[in-house]
Amino acid sequence: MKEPMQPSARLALGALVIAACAVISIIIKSGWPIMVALSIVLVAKPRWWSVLILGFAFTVYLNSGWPLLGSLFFIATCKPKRWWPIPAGIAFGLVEVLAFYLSDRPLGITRGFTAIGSMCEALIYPEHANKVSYWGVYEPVIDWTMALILGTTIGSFLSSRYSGDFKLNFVPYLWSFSKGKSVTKRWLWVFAAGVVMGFAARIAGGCVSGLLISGVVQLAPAGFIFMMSLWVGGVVTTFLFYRTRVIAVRKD
Amino acid sequence: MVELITMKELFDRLALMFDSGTIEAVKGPTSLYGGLILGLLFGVVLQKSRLCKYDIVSGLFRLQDFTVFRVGTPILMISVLMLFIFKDAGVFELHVPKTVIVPQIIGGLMFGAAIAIMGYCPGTAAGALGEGSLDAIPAMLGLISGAVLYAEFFHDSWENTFLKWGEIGGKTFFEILRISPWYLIVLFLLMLTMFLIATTMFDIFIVFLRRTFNLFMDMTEALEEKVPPATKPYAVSTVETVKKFRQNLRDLFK
Repeated sequence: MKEPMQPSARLALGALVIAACAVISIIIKSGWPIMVALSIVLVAKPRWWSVLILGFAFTVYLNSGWPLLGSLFFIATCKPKRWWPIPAGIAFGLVEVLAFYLSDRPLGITRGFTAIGSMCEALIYPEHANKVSYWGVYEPVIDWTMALILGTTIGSFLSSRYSGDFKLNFVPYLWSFSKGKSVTKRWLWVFAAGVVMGFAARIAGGCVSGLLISGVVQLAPAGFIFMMSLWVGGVVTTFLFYRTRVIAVRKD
Repeated sequence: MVELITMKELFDRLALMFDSGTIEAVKGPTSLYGGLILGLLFGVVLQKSRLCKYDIVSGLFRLQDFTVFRVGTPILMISVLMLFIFKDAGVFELHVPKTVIVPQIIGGLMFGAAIAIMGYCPGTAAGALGEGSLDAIPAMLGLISGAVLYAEFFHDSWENTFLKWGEIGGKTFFEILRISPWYLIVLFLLMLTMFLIATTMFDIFIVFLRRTFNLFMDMTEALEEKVPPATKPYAVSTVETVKKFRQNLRDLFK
């Protein structure tokens, strides 16, 4: 086992990487290598000053004030590990409305997964993929929804790293409490449930964000029907699947 | 020689940086940058409201942890209000999802079953991966393969059978009932407020019943850890009891 690096050595390594990428970007006269290096080095262990530097760098790079404003907002609000449910819900609602304003479409994610499936098939077996009528609706191109998935992952990563909530785990705590600590079992069950979920989302025509929340907030019957049946299905399956009356003690 | 600028010019430059052209550039349903920005905000909000944790979502279906309801109700209240205000002001239009009753009931039941086992919905699976829960990887692979499975084998044969049963189309409740949406919104907001109060009071209510009437003894094993043991004080004044109860509640919610 190697010894962990000293903090000063880590700092020097980061500075070296940034300097090397700065030289590269001066040579090729394009800013993106140093931006990528800055992002990776500063996001590795975010502090308030590193987020500020990152926001400032993106402000200079994109010549727009929004990244700096966003980083200031992030520094101010995202330090606690969690928000209280009601403020968090209000923020979520504002994001939902922003999706309508900015992108002129409701916030839906399953479409992205379907389009990724379509892309995979078009890459592996293009002749067959052209014949499938369903891929006419979900064309194999990179679009808004995939950017949304990527952005969700990055945003969650940033937020959890900044507040110190990031923890690599293979099996969730509550699952290991009621079903055992086996990684293979958990991952197989998750894969099977994922197949069922993708299938069900295609039958119903959306997922929680795309059909339930967007449907209910527009007072469409679809959202209410989906919400009720989802709730019933979830509770019944929980009581059949976990088959226990034990209330697991949750660590906070 | 460094050229000094006046404060006014600095502010002018700052205002130029925040010009509305940047917003116009990321607007539109196909803009990738718009999707990325919305995704960043979405991810931060999901992580901060703890919705992308298995423990929270599974706790909802085990009827122990109503964080999802407490987060979900303000989402619906705020967005339904602002959505219809902006719609009436003409800022944007609604995009109503299509209603087909039978497939949505079946799909909802299956979706709920999958959530109960998996603990993530498609959006929170992406968030959970960013948070370090690696079991979101098979979840995302499963989602993709489920969609492929449906498109390959089932869509064509089912298209004209039960997938059409109970089709209403992209209509909303107020279009079906032919009334102003604001009647429904006021009703909806009232219902949601009552629901929010009920879910917020749930823990307090259970503790209250348990401490006063010794009810729900077996249901509150989880609360046992948080609440100090219920000893019956015989000769204490009412003020003391109320003080202690409030202290317990404060401990319960930190």
